[in-house]
Amino acid sequence: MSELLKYWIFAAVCLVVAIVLVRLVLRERLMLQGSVSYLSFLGVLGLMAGFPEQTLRIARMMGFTLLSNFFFAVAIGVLALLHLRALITISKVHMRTVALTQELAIVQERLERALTERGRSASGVELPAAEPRA
Amino acid sequence: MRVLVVIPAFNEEQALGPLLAEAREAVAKLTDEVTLLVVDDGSRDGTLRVARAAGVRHLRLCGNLGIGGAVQSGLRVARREGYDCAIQMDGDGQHPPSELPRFIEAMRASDAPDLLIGSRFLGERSFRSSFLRRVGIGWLRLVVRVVARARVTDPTSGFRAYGARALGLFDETYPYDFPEPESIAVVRGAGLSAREMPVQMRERQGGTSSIAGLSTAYYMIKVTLAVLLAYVRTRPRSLTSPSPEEESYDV
Repeated sequence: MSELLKYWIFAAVCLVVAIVLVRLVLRERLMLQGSVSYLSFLGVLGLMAGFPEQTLRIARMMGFTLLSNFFFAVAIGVLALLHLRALITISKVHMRTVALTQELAIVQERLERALTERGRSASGVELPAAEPRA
Repeated sequence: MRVLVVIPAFNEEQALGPLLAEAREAVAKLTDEVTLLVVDDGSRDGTLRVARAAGVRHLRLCGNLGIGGAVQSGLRVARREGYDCAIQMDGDGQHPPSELPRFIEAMRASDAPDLLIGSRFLGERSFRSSFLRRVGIGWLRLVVRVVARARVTDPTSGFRAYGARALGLFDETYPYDFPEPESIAVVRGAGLSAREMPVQMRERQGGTSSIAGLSTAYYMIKVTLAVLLAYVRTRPRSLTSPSPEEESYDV
């Protein structure tokens, strides 16, 4: 198997992963906003695999002897950045979930109390003047 | 004085009933307006049913947020409804409600701190924690002292009272998991005052501790890092408008 074919196989893998991602976006299981950077990364990796000679030239300029090392370095670096971004997103979502859960509980309790008080007033029971004392 | 007693509870159906009965009895003689609020942190047992049956106010969180999220929910209610102070008390029965009047009295004083921590290691000791727990508390005591420059004997105590300024601070930010030592650093960083008060504590009356086995190591690492970051994060806020009063600390 020639060196070029090996890299084309790598490009094909990138293409398959990209297709899977696009399908997930179409099925609304992934948001396009979050997947654009991943798709771009796959695109760059695919281009690197599709044009190994040009990539090798860039790799040599950056001090890499082996093209595979360059691939790994780029992949690890970009994946680490993507992971960091995902962590930031997860943290934001988590904080929003906590705030929403708290708000929901507070509103629900207020509603329940209002309904209880309305029920009491409808049945002729005198309403408490202030907060119900424990 | 209007006081909200926040009782976070996760799967505490066994201990909660007697605790609420005890708490009602403890605050019945007080002239202050004391309201009990159970925060059910997404329990899977009958915790909510017990709170309802006891006729106390209750928040039902639709998911388990952890102790920090549950406590903050209660503190938010206290802030929004204009309570003068809030007292946090565990739902597992470890914190005797008979101490509530002492907390209220201390928070009513003119020199009341923003955060009053009930310490089991000050004064007469009620019960002894396990050796490992004491080692952990010793380490956290050191961390809080070095990082936040606060002398706290019981940094993990969840029996505490929050004044109006602390309620405002914790409405904005409150640590999510294992929040007690971190919240001391937040208070210190924001330039609020904190003090300790001796309290009696007892063995948990039901349920299981969330800190056991491997989670102990995670707890120690996470809390150490969190105390450091919380202090650094909140520090600039105090520099914007420090008053002489705010610059003095009791702990």
